[in-house]
Amino acid sequence: MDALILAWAPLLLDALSFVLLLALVALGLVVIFGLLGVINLAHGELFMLGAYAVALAVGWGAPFWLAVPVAALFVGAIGWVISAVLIERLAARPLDTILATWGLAIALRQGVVLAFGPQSRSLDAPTGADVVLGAITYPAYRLQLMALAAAVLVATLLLFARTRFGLTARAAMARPDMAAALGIDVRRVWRRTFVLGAALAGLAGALIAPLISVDPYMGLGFLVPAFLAILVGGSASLGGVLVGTGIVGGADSLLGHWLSPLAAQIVVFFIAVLAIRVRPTGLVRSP
Amino acid sequence: MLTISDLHVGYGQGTVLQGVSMVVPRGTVAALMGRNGMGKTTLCRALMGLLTPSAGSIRLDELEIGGRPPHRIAAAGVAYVPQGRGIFERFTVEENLELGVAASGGRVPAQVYRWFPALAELRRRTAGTLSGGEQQSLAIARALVSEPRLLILDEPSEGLQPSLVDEMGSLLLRIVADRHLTVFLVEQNLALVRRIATIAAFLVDGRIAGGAAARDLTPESPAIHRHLGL
Repeated sequence: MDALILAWAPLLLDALSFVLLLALVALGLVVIFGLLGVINLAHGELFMLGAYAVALAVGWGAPFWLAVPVAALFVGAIGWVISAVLIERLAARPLDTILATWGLAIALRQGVVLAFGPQSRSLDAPTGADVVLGAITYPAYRLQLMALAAAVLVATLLLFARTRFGLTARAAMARPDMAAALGIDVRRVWRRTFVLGAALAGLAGALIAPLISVDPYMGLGFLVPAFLAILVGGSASLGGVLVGTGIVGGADSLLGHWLSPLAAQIVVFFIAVLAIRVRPTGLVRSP
Repeated sequence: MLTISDLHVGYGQGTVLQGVSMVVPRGTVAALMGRNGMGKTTLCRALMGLLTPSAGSIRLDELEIGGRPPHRIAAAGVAYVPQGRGIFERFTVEENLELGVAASGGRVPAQVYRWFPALAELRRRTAGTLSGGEQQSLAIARALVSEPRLLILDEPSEGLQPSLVDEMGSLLLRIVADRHLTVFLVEQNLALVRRIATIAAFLVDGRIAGGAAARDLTPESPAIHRHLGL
């Protein structure tokens, strides 16, 4: 029994922390897609910018836990500019926004290469200590990361379900003309939503920075499973995102322990194809 | 007072409204009648800012609202009940009403539930499950929560049985008198127009083709024959 716990608990905790981070990325994507109808292919690069912001800030001597919210705000501000300069000008032209955000992704990646070079950088975990959890020990930072990611996920869900901002955002999505006629500045709601989605990506990137190598191409590795998770879970509800990331992220992380990362990804793709075949609109249907 | 002068509005190439002028004094109900496709809904949407006029002006009292974005026009005191009601079907009744005050940051006035007591009982219901009459009440109530000066109603009687149209007419008369509300009513239902409107104008091919005192109109009136008859 103890041997079983010893073997499984760290794997499950690793998987859970990956799922929670992936959910932050996917939530940002789905908020932007669900509310604005925009498929943001630069989302992975926003994630990457969050990681760079933290790595640079810590390099300049800022404490890690101050750098994380600053990185999220910084990426949110970049989202504000992207929304104003690019997204809002292409409203109601889905194909064009895909092309534009794809181009933006390339520009952001290469911009980072030009500014900081193509090499990866690493960052020490703010708390290197391990925590004893019954029979196992586990890195304290990963536990803090999980708690923070879970709290932000819940807060975002509540923001949309319970607050007036959430109500106006959902209204602007369902019937933009009617929302505008009721006095809601739909453009401003869209922009705030985009900023929120960008900030979520930035936060996820900032939190993962101490765990993986930070390089200009790190975004893609999270964007693809995030998209996959949305396809599997369904984009109609935020609950679908959690189910989708649970399946995709969980399988990816767990299988990676026994198989090569490549084989794990092939299996994950296979699971995703099956799930999409059985439920083309996602496992979680709209309420 | 609503003053529309020489308003031109079009979609893409064609111009749908070609110089509409109308004055609706404060506290009165003006009806706009006409066959389908004459531009009535286009005029409503232009008044609300959902379409941008290519020429002409729309003034609410002394304020020029023509060409402004809809949320600004709403803030100036204009509320809109579109054709088909524009209810958020998946939201609750209460959420629908709250959206009417979301922009101003206020709360839903209790008065609205006194005007529409049935809605008080339906507060937690999903709006899409309401009957047609209840949805129409909700759409009008939602327009009134912001305490507008001008209310635009586009075919409110559509799909309602005559007894409900009657009831809605009485309630609207009461609210107009209570609030000194100006109402721009697009309607094909002559009974409702006679009941609540003071003046009626006829829209033909994007132009006002005449007007009449609403109470003088009967199904036999030449104007009704010419502009609404089959």
